[in-house]
Amino acid sequence: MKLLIDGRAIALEGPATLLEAARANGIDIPSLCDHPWLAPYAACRLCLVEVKGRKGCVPACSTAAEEGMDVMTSTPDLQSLRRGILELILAEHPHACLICCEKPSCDDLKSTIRKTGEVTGCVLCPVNGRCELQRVAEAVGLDRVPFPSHRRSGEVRRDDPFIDRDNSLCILCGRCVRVCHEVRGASVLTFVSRGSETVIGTALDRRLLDSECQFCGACVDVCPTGSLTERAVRYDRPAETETKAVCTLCGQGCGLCVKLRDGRVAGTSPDPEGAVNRGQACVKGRFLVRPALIHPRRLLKPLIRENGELREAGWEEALTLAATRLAGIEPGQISVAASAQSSCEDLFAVHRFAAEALGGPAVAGPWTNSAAAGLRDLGRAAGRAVPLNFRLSDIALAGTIVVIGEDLPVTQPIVGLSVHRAVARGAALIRMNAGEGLRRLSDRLDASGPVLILFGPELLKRGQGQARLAELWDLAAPGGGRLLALDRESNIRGGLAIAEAFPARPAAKAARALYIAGPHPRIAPGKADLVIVQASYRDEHVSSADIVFPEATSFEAEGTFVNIEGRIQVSPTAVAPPGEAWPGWRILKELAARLGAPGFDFASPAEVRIALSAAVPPLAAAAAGGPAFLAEEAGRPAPSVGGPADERPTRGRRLAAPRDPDDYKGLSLAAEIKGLKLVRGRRCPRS
Amino acid sequence: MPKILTRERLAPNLHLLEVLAPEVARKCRPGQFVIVMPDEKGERIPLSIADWDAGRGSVTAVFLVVGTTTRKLAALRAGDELAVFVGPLGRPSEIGAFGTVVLVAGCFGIGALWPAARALKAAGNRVVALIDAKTAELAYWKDRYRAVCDKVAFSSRDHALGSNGFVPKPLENLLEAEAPVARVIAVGCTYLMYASAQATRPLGIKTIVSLNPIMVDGTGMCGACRCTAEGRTKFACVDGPDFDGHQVDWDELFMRRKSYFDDEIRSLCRYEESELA
Repeated sequence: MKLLIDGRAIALEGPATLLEAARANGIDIPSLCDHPWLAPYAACRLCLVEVKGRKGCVPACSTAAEEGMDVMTSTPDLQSLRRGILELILAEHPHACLICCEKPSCDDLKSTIRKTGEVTGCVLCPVNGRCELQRVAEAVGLDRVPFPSHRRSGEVRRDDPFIDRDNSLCILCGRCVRVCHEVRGASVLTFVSRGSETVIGTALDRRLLDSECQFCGACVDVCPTGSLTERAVRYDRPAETETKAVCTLCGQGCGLCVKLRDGRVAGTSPDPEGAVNRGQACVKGRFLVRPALIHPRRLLKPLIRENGELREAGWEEALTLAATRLAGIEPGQISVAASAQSSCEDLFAVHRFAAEALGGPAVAGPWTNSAAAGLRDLGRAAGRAVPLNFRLSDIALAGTIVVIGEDLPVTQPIVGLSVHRAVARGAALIRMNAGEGLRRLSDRLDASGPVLILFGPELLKRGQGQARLAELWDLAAPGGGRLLALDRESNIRGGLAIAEAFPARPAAKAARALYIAGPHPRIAPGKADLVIVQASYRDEHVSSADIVFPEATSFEAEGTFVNIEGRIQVSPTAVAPPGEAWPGWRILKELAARLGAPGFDFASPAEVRIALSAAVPPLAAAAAGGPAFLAEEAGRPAPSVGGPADERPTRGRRLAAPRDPDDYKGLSLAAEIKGLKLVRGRRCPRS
Repeated sequence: MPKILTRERLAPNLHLLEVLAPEVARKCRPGQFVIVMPDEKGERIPLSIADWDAGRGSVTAVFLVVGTTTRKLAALRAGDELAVFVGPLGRPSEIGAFGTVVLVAGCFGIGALWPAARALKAAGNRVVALIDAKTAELAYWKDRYRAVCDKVAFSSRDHALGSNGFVPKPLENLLEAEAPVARVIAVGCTYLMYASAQATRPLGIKTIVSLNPIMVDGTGMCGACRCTAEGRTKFACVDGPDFDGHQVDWDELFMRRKSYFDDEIRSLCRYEESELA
């Protein structure tokens, strides 16, 4: 398709709006209500353009480009029209600073009063410098507002966690209402009242907390003004730099932009280009990374037990002590456990450490009892290949979706968005709890097409879990349906692949020493003489340990994570670790050196990945560093009973997948961070 | 403990606080301040006295909500009690028969300068007020000023008040129209006082400002409020708060006021979290 915009010949590949066509060709048309994630709305009228041969003006955001159109975007008439529209918008928005000649020096000298309770001008506004109104006012060349300033009613609402709502800054573009409804399927925010009284609010003017809001922050991210803001950072100076990282607070592996100021995390927002989440996040990725990383329970220095008490120690002292004490224990009497929230690099190091330094005990971890392992075992028992990989985009295209035992907005919120899209397209959604009988389901599936059955670790925790999984398979497979395993920890799939690559001896019957790499597996202290823990947060494992190594979190150390889809993602170091925390692989490398174990001659995460790729074929793509999927083997024969996948923990110790979906490396976010505690603890039913 | 008689929002971020404190009320003079603590564990902050009524035994201050302590103050209601209310502190403003006096007031300074306006008028001066209000809603107490001033003008970025810009230009116009002006008194944010002093410097008009550094005890003991004026270190609490604006080291004052910026933000975030339920 060919058309003219401002006299320039423009060729389009497929359908596009005039606004999209102009922007794709570097022609800027001001707009405030349009947003790439949302359906055209044509409310702000700033993007009005002239089309030759048509009367009047048309909004570029909601007008489809057509063959042969001749479009003008910035005639004097249009500019004057836009100025008029903007003047009216600004009459109801604190605009004094926008037109004040003192603004530059004021920005510099008045910075201390950003903490005022109410915003009366740009210098007091949390989005000063990032505000779209400021940008548009500049583009339109606005330098005066010929109307008296009118303050829209209402004080700043601060009665919800994480989000402040200030209607006095709102321009009623409707982006928040639309993202909440169109993208998130929540429909919590809405227009309230009519005419000049219209405000953004909730049904019955409830708090967000009492309105089924999941606090995903999408409304904050699309707000063009300071009307909806993240409370924890609204008084801070703006971030200086931004690094893209993978969120590891759950198994979905969303892309996050980690913002830094003065070398510290100033906040996180969803990566608009994130392969998994495409600009969306959940309450944890959006609001909790920063408080989690600076939580007072972070371990900052190695600890060693002396006279019954843990005391701080240097790395050299702690490593030497650990090596000396481990060397004094028979190889067969050491148990090793690892976390499924550790990176592939760290987990590979744990397995190699167990094999080379500790005599080859199995490494126990939550992947053993995971949904993915259940699905894999199902295939093996039947001697056929059951694919574990999937794409979130597959879900949006499904005809029938069954969700078993998972509260998606809490445990898999981004999966929930795909389900919402599918339902919006007409898919049937069936929700069951993990204990429910399957007979009713089979009746309902009879008539429908291929089905996707989404299940999590809850299903397998109950008696007959594996048998029920087989039943589900029998329901889905004949019609071409699939089962999708939704595990909750950030690297279950990576942990599973690495564990398979290391043949291991059965665990010790009565271990005298316990090496816990990453805190997660809930192992009772038992009667071990020596407990060594690598951890990021002080928890019950740390309290019962003899030696503690402080471990960097995934945001502080480059590492590879495999999400629920089987997507291999390398996350860079976004921020320096606090105190003296080290990446897990480095701790093990240093300890191995002191025990004289070979195979640890890597000096960087990239070098670990090279070794890892060679040792763990399904993860071979990790060494390339680029995005890839875990390689799946077709028709792998069932392994003999008692193989590594079926490794059971040492007698007297209990291993289970985490029950708390908000656990992060031993820190219960819902228990430790007040905002999430309020969100998870509320009584109102979730839709 | 001193009881609150009135707590009222005058304008966005600007609140009036009237406290029952008969002994303070008996001694107040224009330009003085009180030290306030909303609760026992909070911080001490200075508030300029905006009015008093010896008969009623009350003292009034107008404050800007700008951090944890003022957020707490703004949440109090009539009948609540303050942990600390000490005053009057500081040297009173010089009141005499000067001739024509131009008052430049903005923000909390509109309240803080009001007692001086009243006293200067009573002393026989021609009193002209320039009230700076970014938007019309920030210009409170217009009637009070009109009642004692010979003229009230505004500097504003709001069409409703003439949209004539920030202080310097309107002040210069006023000084020309009112010449000869004997003295200018400016009270408000540091930037307003600095800009006023800069505007009068070339004209050689004596300009008094009421400095607002971080202050803790208010009686000259802690030294937190140190500033440089007339080339020497001064304590704003006992040597001021009024100083000659042409003799103030403004760069130092701006810098010192930012000393606890990050801690103030952390404190406010903690307070906001504690208020959630």
